[in-house]
Amino acid sequence: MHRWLAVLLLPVIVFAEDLPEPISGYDFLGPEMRQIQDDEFLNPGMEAVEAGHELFNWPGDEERACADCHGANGDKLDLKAIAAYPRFETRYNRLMTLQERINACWTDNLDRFSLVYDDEKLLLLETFVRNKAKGEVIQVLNDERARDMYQLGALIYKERFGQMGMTCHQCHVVYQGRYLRGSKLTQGQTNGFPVYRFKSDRLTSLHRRYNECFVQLRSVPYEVGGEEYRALEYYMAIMSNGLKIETPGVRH
Amino acid sequence: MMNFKRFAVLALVFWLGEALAQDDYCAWQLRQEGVRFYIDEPLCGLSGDVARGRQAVIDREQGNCLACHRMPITEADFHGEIGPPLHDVALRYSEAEIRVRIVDEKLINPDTIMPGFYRHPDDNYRLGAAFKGKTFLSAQQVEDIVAYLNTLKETY
Repeated sequence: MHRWLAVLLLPVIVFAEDLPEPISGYDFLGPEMRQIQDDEFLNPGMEAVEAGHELFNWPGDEERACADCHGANGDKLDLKAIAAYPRFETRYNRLMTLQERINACWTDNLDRFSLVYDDEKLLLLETFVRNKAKGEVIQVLNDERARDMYQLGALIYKERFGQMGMTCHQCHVVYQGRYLRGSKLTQGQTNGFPVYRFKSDRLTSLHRRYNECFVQLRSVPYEVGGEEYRALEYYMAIMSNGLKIETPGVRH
Repeated sequence: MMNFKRFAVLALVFWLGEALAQDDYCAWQLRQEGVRFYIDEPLCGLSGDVARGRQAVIDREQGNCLACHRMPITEADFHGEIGPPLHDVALRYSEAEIRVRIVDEKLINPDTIMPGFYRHPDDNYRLGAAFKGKTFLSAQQVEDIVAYLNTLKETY
């Protein structure tokens, strides 16, 4: 009887990846940085949230704004849905990141020219919308229809890159929590993005952060908004499942 | 005609530069005895300098071994905790065994996170343009570090 149970359970065990219990980057911060992130007046990322809020209400030449459908303060936004991106959009028949979804809304519903990935406008809107869903638990579906993107993300996550020859997985899963010279290795979770980084004194998108990682690995970054980064974003969002959205996070 | 000559000269210089850069890499021989691995000969036949090696393991622009390993170097803080401490590395391994681990630990442990400091540049995936044709450390730096590590015989 038990043997049969084991056989039945086997595919489940094999399919479930060895994903670690997710820990937010926030938990790796010192008390001062935490205080800055928690305080809306101290958090420098809030400037982007406000700018995004303004843009959300900006009617442009089209005399139409995001706020027309979603409410002046975004009150009609579906916060659970925001915490579910990247997700497979049946309407577009493909996996979409939140930025792509905002851009689609921007072009299809507001009749505006499409924006390039990480365009400042998109980044501001994404920051505003994610901040709106702050505290919402991330629940990204590992969708059968997006299997290729999940697999590409997993492949990149576990590939050795550049002269350093390290993988994302080694630093952020295997050695998480240990000190690399002066800094503790985090899980590299994405729930605080876009984040404000003091090192560069700017709001940093997830894909820009990926670029910085690749440069650190002495490797060639992929294209911002390209398939590789979107796939990585998807894979890592699934790793983040269970964490709460913290946008805008602050980091060193 | 002038233009062609200039182009030809430039091309020749470039080609020579490339050829030299490739020739910079010294081949090495891996020897295995059971579970132990050795590179017996010093890279490019160079001899290492202990003091320079000690500097290179601290220097963030060079070996930066301290990023991951604790070592008996009290004047530098923030020793990493990714790899094993190296206080007694020379008691555990011979010089030839230490050399393998610096050249490329993946020769011994394919899953290691440790960079291959003298791995052939062509063996790196998506290597950054600034690092084309270059090893992480020069053969001299590797030999210096090997010489320094070979002095670490503290028991603790």
